[in-house]
Amino acid sequence: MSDASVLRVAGLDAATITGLLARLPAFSGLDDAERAAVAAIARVEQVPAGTTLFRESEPADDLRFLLDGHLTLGMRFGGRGEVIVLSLGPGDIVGWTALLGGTWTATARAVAPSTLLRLSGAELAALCERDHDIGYALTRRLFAAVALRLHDTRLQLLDMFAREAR
Amino acid sequence: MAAATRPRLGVFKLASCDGCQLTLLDCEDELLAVAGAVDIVRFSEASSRPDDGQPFDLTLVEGSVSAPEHVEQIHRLRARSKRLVTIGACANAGGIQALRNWVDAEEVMRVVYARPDYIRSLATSTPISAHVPVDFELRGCPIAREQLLELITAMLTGRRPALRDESVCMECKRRGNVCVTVATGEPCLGPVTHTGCGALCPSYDRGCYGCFGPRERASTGSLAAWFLAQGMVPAEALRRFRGINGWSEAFRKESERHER
Amino acid sequence: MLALAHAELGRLFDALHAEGYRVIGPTVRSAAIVYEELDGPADLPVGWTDEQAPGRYRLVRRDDDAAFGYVVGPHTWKAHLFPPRERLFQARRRPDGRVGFDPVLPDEPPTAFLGVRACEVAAMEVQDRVFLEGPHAEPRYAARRRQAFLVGVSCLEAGQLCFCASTSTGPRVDHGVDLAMAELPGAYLFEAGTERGRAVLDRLSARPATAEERRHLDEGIERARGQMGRTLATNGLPELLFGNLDHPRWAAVAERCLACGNCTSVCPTCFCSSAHEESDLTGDDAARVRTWDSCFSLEHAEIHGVNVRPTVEDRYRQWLTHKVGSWVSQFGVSGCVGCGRCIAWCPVGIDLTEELAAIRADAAAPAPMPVRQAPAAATDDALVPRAAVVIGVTRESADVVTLHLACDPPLALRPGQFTMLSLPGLGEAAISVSGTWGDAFEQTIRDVGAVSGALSALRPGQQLGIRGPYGNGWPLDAARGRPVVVIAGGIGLAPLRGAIRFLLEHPLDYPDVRLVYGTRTPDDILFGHEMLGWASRPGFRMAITVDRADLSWRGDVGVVTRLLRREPLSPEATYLMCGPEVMMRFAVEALTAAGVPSDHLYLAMERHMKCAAGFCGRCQYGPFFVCKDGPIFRHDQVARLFGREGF
Repeated sequence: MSDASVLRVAGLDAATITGLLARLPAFSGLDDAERAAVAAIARVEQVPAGTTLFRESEPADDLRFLLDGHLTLGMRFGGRGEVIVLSLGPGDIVGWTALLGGTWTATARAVAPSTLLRLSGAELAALCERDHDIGYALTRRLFAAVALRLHDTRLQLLDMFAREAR
Repeated sequence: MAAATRPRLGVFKLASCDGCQLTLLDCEDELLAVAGAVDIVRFSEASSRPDDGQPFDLTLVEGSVSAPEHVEQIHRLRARSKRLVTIGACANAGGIQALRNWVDAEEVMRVVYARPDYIRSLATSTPISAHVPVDFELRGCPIAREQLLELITAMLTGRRPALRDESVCMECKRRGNVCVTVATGEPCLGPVTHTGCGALCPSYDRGCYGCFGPRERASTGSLAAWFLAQGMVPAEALRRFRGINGWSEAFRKESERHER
Repeated sequence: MLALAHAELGRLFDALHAEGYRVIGPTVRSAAIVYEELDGPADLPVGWTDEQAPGRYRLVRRDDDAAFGYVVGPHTWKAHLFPPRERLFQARRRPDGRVGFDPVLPDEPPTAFLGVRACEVAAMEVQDRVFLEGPHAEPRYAARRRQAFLVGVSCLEAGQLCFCASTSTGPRVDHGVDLAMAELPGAYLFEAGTERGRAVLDRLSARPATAEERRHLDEGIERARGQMGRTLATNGLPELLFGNLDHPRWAAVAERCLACGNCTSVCPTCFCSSAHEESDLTGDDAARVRTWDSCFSLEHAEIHGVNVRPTVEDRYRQWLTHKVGSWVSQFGVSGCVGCGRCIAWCPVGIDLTEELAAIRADAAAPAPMPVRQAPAAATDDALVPRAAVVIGVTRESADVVTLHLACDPPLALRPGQFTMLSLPGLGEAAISVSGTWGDAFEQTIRDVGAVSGALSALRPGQQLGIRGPYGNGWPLDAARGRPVVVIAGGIGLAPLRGAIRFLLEHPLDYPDVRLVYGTRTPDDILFGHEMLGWASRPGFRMAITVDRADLSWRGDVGVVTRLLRREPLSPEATYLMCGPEVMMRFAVEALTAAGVPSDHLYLAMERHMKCAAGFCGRCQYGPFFVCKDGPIFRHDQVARLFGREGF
């Protein structure tokens, strides 16, 4: 659940949101009508620095796309507290687990004032069920984003700056 | 240097001929300097100073694990050693006594000994590294004096020991030796053997028999194929690889390829 | 041309001795014809010849009494110009922390090499390019080479493994010697090649050669030329080999190759060497010793515990693609002089002429090879350190320290260069220069081993050994007037710091400078204080990312390439990169995908640095030496090899 201090940006009309969607790579395969259908279930929110968007192991409900700002993903690590495992910047998706259902695998926080596009995972999944063209286009691009994220994570896994055992 | 700040050295043996320990005594001129720089706590071949049971900075162990008591002994030594260095073919590869690993040791004992019940021996003779982690392997049969000194000096000065893992051929060629294999057809294990002896045998016109054990990337298959192509019978090829270091992985696998 | 009867050959020895030379020449020992000191003509291998085949060499009796009736044996003259083992210097470390270094110079008596074959003259000339041409000349080789009196002997018979006709390196000795000789059945023919050759010739009381004798010589040479036991098509070999680095023949020959190093040891042009420290038990009295090494040895391609040529296939391919391939880009001539020794003395008889023919017979398209750069004028590099003093130490992170050093005379340094820092009895390491300050300079060291660890522990007032500077620098001139993006990973920021300082000191020439820096954790960020100063400059922007952090970190977490994707990547900008090779590889991919041309990308490559002066061969990267052609390379120069295994 998001913090009470989240501000909703009320009064943004659907046309504006459709325009914002066009800036996101995830929705680049959709035509205007399709984007409008997504915009209808989306809202824009602005959060101040320090906001926790969601917490690890809580039910995953909404996914978000970062329009502007800086987020981090962190994971609890035994006695070490929370470790930040990734930063996200404009264009990145955060919370794809919401589309699949389940619980959050990390904790997302804003480290700078950030503007996000937010959708209910359940509603987006239902839209994709009803309209397979939207579903396919979106899934393809999410797949590409996840693949890139996996590649980046593998590079982190290489621990290339670690000192080799002497 | 005050005795308290000198590194503590212990020298031990398992199943071996004692020749590798003797190499430290062979250091003659340098031995006094070594004894001054290092606190030789336990070296029963040279001194009757008793073991004080305290940890060592450097432990040299020769000999293979061949009897039941060796297993416990090596674990105890490992626990009290900052650095454990195995010296010689027995410690590194199981030694010539590892020949029994290919036969039924019990049966051999019954044939050889009048009272086999007096003998308490493991079925196999294995290298120390098969039982405990080893910090460094000093090769040889026996080890080379200069290499032992370099190991001790490197530990004292803090540098990496200048002990190369390369073929005996490199040392032969640096000495200007004529290759016995190419010039006379004498089989030589130099290309697959770890250097360190100063190419001793080829310097006296005889082929290397691998007493320093296999080097990294030992291409034993290609060398054996060449021997066979020159007329060596498989039984002889097997024998050449199943020598002092026969149980080391590269040589063992090669000798087994030529079993009937 | 003059002539002596066979029975009068002793006069040559007398003349050489009278001129003060000891004579090294061919003699029979241990079933081969080797080069050793000779007292007189009786020591020559009279009546012997060599029958050679792959992996086989036998001495066989001739039916005449020719003294030079053989071709070449397992010894080369390189052993006398570039000995297998040589002390370079003595070093001392005093209790007060001062160090001293004393060069050890050659002290052999004047020596005449008797029986130098044409291929061997060619081999010496090849090694001259290695050791005497720029940027550094090796003075020990130079001294021995200058002093050696060469008596060349042309071949009138070729051997079963000879192919000097293919490599145009024989069989006639017609240059490069003090005295040229040939052996006819009835006489020895002589021609002087130099003044001192003439001085020896004048002592022989020889008669003029007859026209018939001259004719016999020419005919003999032609006969030898036609008798070669092997041939090698040399045209386009470098391009052929580098276009076929994945040819199946490499895997096939690797099944046979023992990686024993015999071929490199008997080759008269191979020059790779290693060096190690020898000392007494305290390490305060030490020497550095150079020994012959081989690209087949494990150590040759090792850096920081990683081996770039772990397999036999990698090593054989390195050897052959260097010998007849990248050698041409490096030195302007092939490294192979057609003597056939590597074929005879390979214990399993691998024949490089056969291997090369097999690759040529079924080859993919050739690859372009860099043209050799005209070598810079060579300055002597005695390979002996001088003392530098530590004037300050800054701890940058848990395992990184910057030493502030000074030495006399001061070094002239460019950002991107490096030096070899050493301590007596301990060893030497290549360390980047991370900045300069007046006459003093800074070198940033990461503690990764015995040497770097000991250097990191030095304190102000203590001394250490320094050689250099070596290497090229960052191309700051070429980058003038355009945006510059500096991409650094981990300790890779150190060689770039000097460049960043320079760029910021000249804002009119470099109005747009960006730094993208990745490292392991926030605690590993180097030069943090100085970075705050950079960040306050107009025209400079910085993005830092770490692999992992705790919640107190406000910056980015993730790999550098993620940051790059978010930056505008202008094809106009110059990109300077230094960091782990895997990081640079993916950065290059990201930049190339964004349309940045290859010749705007500069990489700092790292390979094992032993001598750093261009002699030991350890830092080779295909046709390049990282120490003298690098460490900074433009991507298009190295694109073919970058990221490929085995180089």
